[in-house]
Amino acid sequence: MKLHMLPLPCLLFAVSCSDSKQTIETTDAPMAVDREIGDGLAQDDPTLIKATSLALHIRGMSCPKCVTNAEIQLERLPGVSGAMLDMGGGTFRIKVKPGAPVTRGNLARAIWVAGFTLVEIEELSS
Amino acid sequence: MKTQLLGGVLLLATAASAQEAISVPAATMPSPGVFIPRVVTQLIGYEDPTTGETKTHGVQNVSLDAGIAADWSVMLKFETSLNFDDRKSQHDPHLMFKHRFYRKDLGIISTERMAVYGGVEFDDNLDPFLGLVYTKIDGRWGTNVGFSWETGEVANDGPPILAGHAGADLWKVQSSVLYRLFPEDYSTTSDHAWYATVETSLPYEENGDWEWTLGPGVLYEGRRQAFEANLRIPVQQDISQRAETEWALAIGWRTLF
Repeated sequence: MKLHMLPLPCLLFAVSCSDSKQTIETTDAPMAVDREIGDGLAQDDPTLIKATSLALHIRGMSCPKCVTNAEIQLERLPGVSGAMLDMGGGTFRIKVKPGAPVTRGNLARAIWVAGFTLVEIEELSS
Repeated sequence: MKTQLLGGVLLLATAASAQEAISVPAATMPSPGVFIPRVVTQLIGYEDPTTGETKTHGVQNVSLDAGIAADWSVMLKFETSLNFDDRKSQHDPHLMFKHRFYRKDLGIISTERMAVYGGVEFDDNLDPFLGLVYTKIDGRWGTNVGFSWETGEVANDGPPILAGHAGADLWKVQSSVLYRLFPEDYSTTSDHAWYATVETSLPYEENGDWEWTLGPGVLYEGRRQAFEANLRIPVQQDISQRAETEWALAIGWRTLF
């Protein structure tokens, strides 16, 4: 049997354990969404989107690549463009072409398919 | 001590999201229509035997909406001595299916997922494997814990080097912890992140061989590209049926189409 001493990984583990509480508090600030997250907004909601500028409040996106995944799925919807994300706030801003046949369910489905959860749609302008 | 190069082209369906380490699986899944090629090259140092192998994976990702992914891999095996006449190759395709059966997004940057995966390796026989993995991401921290079983295979072009290549079935517990070094907080302008990673693995072969390895590493992730490196070192080993690995350096790249 061989025994090797490895101080560096052990040190990393120790640091990670001691610092976790503070980290979560600073990066995962609560948002004003007064509802259970659950599975997010209904994916079969047929309500048409009338606003041309929206803020989508999303849960579960943890990385730059996650954003790209969500952008790809959102921009596959007809009339949806300009997806921009504030990762810290979990908020995607999108533009919807006037008259585009996009429903609330379409948006919830796109985010779900990307791997995340849409918990609120905020209409910014119509 | 001999040093061998294990080169890899790993086009891996499991490599969709961040906070996935280079060797430890994660319960992540690319979204439908997204293709993620991944290349992993490993340099392995060991004492005996005097021959080694180089492994190359190529996996084609087919991801379905239900969270099922199919992987296909090719392993090229060749020696890496400076004498290129020694070079030889072997193809060991893998077919893997993965189903993420649980996911719950708990907060803005807080989520947990679980997946099962399984498949076969095509060498002289069909060698099945099966695994279960749990992933949790909370703020700057990511944790993956996996448990897997695979049929042992017999190295047919030299003494066995890797766990599971000495003919005995392989049971493995793996875990990784990733910590986002930068940025401390995401903002509207965040387009990349740096992570420190630590991987640990405990493979047990039914012939009695086992080892415990630790691997510190680093991961850079942009909006489409990611680069990763990891140095894996055994902490404890009790190996008699195959080569005793002394260290392994893995370097990887993945992108998103």
